[in-house]
Amino acid sequence: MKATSIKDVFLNEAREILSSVESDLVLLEQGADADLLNRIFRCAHTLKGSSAMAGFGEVSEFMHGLESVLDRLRSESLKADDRLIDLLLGSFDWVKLALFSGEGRKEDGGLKQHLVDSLSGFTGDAVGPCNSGDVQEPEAKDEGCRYYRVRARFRENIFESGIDPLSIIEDFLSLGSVVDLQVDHSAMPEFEDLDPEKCYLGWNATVRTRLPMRKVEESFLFVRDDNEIVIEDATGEYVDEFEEESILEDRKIGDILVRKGIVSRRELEDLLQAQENRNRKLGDIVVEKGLATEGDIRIALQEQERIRTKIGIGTVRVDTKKLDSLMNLLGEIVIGQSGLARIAEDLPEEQGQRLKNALYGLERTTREFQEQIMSIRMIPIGPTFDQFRRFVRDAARDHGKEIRLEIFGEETELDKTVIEKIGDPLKHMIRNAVDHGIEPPDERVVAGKEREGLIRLNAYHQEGNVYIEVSDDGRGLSRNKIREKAVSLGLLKPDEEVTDDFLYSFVFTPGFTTAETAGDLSGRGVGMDVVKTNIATLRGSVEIETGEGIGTTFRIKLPLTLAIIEGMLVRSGQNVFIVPLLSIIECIRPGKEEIDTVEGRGELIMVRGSYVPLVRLYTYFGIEAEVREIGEALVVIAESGRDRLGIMVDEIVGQQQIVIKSLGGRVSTTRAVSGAAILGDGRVALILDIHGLMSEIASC
Amino acid sequence: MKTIKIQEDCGIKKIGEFYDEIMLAMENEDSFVLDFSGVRRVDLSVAQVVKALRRYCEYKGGICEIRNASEETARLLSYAGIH
Repeated sequence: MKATSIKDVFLNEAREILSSVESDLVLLEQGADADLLNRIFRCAHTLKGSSAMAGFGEVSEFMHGLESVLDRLRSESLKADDRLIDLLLGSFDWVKLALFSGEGRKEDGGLKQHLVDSLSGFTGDAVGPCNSGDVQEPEAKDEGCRYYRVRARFRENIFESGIDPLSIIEDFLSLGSVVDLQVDHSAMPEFEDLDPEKCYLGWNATVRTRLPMRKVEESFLFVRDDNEIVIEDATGEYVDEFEEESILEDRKIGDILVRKGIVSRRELEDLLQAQENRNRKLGDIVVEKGLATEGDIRIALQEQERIRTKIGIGTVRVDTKKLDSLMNLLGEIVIGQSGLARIAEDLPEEQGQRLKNALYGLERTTREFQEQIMSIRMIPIGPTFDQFRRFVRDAARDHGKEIRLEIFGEETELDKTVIEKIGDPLKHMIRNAVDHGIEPPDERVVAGKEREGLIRLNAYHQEGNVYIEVSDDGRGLSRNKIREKAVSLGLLKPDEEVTDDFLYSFVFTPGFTTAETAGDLSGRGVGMDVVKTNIATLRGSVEIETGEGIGTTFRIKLPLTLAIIEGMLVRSGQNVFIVPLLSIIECIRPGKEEIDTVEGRGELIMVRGSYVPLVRLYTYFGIEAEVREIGEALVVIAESGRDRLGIMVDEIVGQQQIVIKSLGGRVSTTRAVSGAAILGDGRVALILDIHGLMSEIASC
Repeated sequence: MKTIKIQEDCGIKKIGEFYDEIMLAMENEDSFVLDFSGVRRVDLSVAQVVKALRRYCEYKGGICEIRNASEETARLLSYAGIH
């Protein structure tokens, strides 16, 4: 493996580790937990070892002191108080800085030395004990533990690549308790014949651990390719069959609930039957039947996840580009199918029918295939939520507020692309909740609330969509203030009556803020409009539920995936365009009297008592159209947020599921188009981005 | 008994110097004290030289004693079969 790829692999891993540690440290502050401490320690230990191998010696050295402090926390020689958590968070921040600020990293103004000194203050010296690696006798049955045996023989010249085999063995042995350790000295010559720059030792070692095989493999990540490394799961030799089965059995949520005594085995059988009949999650049915609370289910789910991690359910890392490529290939298959379907139409009846029958089966398989690929792309939102623990902690402290962050629905899965893009909007909403929503502690007490405010993140699936909620129990939005501001900005007439939904949606207007002062976090009237735009880009929407003095909930509705949409095919001249079905309100054929032209606003169409901007697709895209006369053309009324737009087309072609293909940078200047699809006859159809089209029209 | 103080930064980069120093001392000595005070941790190259030296001393009827090793150094040496 080349040094550059080792570095890349390490940096990717480090990014994930640092994010997870940050969240775990905030949790640790709220209450020490042995599992949590072990997890943090493991992360630090991995960072220490891997950073050295990847050439980040300074980081590795720094991690040594940090690891010593964590080790003392594990042994309960230290207590995880605010001061120590601050120091640990600050230390990991420095690691982040050192790893990711690149060659251009400037001097840190003595920050590192300050941190090193502070860490030493907690350990008493600069050198702390590391994880114990004493050889232990195998203990009696230990539920959830696995035994991994490694045979490691390194090439003689391994030192030349900067790798120290002893560190690698140390890393492996630190994964758990050492059950067996044998050093093979057989290749080592007499002292006089020794070449001290060559490697002679080999190891046979077995470790008992709760970690998955993946973690063991990670210890040998950089040496597996060109050394003799054999890793095997030897659990069967140490654990009897019954225990083995019980570990595997406990993967199921129902079994966990039985083991916890929440439901009986018999109740479980009934529940499983009910689940089969109703195709719903077992946890939901258990709660619905009053056998357990949502909290019980959440804990059981967390336990299930831990078990899965411990026994290392076979997982592989796959580059999402490969999944995109698979999806594109599948799209090609769908196109091929459409082509065959057209041929079937032209064949004599009997042959055509036989081809259609064959295609019917193929379509069903293709759809299942598509669903499988989509499910691979789905990842839980938990890690995205977790990253806000640190953010809320620090932001609350900066503003003299006491805020607790509660997270629900971490297991809710979304398309990876959606997860990647939802972070920023969420951050902005949370920022607003901290800055403007949650009141200072004294103000809350006066209002009869707990001193500590609450921000809640929740995610769940409903009706084929994903909902993400950001709620707070703070002041709530002020209807009067929003109204006054909207009137002062000319967005609303003084006597105009509007619904609450309409009024609250003004907070998404650029430059709109009711805050009297702008804070570090928010209040400058920028941000919420970006939230709306970003969510619209994800083909989602956001709604607000608020009560003065009670709090506010922002509810984001998102599609499960961005790779496929249900689309309406419309034609303008020889060109076919796709309008996302979710954006369409209705299709109408307006009369000439329903169209008005207003200076500066272009053509408007009267739809159910309100004027809606009208765009003629052939004009906008500069193409030929068959129908140019109002009265003959069809108008698709589409919406984005609270805005509507009329799109004039020749005709509606039909409705179908569309596999979206990226257009790359070729039409990046046109916000009106979000992608393209290849139709059954091989033609390319552009997918209209309604929000983008509205913006483009507005700026014309 | 010859005492050799291990350099704080002894590792693969300086293992040649360490090895040569011992080779030189072996002309007159069969027993050694290796003083690890100030050494935070060792790598495999150091551990191998120590292991080979121990075997040599035992063969010659001498001893090779390790002194002032930090907890971490002692643990690493034990992973190399040096207790």
